[in-house]
Amino acid sequence: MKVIEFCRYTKRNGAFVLNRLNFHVEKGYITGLIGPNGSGKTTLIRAIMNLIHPDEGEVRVFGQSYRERERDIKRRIGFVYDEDVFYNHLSVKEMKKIIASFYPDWQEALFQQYLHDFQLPEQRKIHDLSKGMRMKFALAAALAHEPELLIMDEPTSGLDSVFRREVLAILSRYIEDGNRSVLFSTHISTDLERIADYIVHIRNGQLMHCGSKEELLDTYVLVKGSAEDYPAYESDGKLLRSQQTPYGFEGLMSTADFANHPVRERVLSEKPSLDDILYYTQEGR
Amino acid sequence: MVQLLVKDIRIQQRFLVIGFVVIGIFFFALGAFEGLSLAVPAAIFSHFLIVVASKTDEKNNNGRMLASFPLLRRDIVTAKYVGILVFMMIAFLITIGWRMLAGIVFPANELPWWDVPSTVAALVLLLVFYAIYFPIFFAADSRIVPFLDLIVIMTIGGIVLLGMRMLEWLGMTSYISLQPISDMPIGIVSTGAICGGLAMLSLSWGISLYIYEHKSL
Repeated sequence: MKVIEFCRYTKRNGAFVLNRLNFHVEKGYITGLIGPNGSGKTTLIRAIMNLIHPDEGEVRVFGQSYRERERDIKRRIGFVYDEDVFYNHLSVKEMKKIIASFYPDWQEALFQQYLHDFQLPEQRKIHDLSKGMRMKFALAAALAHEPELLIMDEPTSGLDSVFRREVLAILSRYIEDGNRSVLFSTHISTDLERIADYIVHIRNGQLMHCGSKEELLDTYVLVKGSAEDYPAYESDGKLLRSQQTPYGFEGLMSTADFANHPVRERVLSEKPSLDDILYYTQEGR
Repeated sequence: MVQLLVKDIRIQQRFLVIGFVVIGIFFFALGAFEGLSLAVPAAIFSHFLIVVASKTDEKNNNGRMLASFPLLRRDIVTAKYVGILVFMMIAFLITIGWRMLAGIVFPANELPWWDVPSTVAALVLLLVFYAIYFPIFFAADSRIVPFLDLIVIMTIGGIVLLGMRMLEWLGMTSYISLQPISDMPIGIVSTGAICGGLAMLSLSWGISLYIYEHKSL
């Protein structure tokens, strides 16, 4: 089932264009949104939250259109943004009161449980919270109305690895019942390797991949060979991108091309990481 | 929409207290507004509350947060305009309350006085100011908002001065007279002025709505 669906979605902003995007996010899974800086991840999330309006097409959430059901859709979404969006001069308790007032399904006991688990002091001012604590508060506030869809924009950037793992564990628990979904953007691909079921990969506003993480990882092969083997790979143009290493070369190519390559026995082939895919599919490398 | 108004009050509880104390101590006890109309401190307090509430919403991308809540953009714009009336009422009530309290201690002639023309003038001034301020507020980049009230004040002041100067240059000052208005009953003038202010505010609400509904956040 589709929880988010982009239908020929086009948005132009100067030279940057999200161009006729057609893809969907599956219900009940964690979907990672990846792409290099400036690729359009945050724009895509703003589109899902209806913070920007399309030039053409539309985005449907829970099978509904923002044109008719904006309040209902947003009531079922929890959001965590990378940037400061709270009133920093307020305390955690005061800010919570404001957020809670917008959600009829607000679960105060659940929120208090998160505060306790995250060791967040209710009386502390938002501006006195560290980046990690602010993220914890944002997460607690986003989850306290038990949303069906959690949208997070770079939630783990700038956080230490211990807290990043805590966040990932929370997300894993959150989707356990199969009815809830998470979409989160990140440029820390190791986080996605740990928990994402599906990957949406965008670059320069273009959709590069939308499907399971395994499908994406199986699409490419990381090839490592000696300097003597490099001309054989470089000349046929099948190597998407490559770089010289002290031992020769390393590059990415499609699994199908590698399977048919005449000198494939002379090189090492590995399953790439998401980071490898991001790195080698980036333009200009 | 009620949540948005309550939110505006919550985010400036501190400023409400500060305003209450400042009006009480500075304006009354220190006699800063002695001999002036009560509408003056009330209008200043109103302006302080309304502008603080709108500026606070533009700090730290708070506008993006509000638009992500289960609300329509129409609600956000409408709440800002209803907030003008609510905060004006709060400010005037607090000022009147202080006037009554101060009246117990101080002689009446040392306190700001209360009359209809100055109150109407203050209300109309505020309505006209916000009718210009909010469309720009909703259209502007958040970096401009901290200075927006000054920009609007200087722009209005500049236009008024320029208009007066042009009338002088054209030798038309003698044709402009407020005499017919001042000859009319105060009730009619006041009602007309308030209705005019509210009409401007309604038009401004429509413009703000159009701007904000088409804005990328």
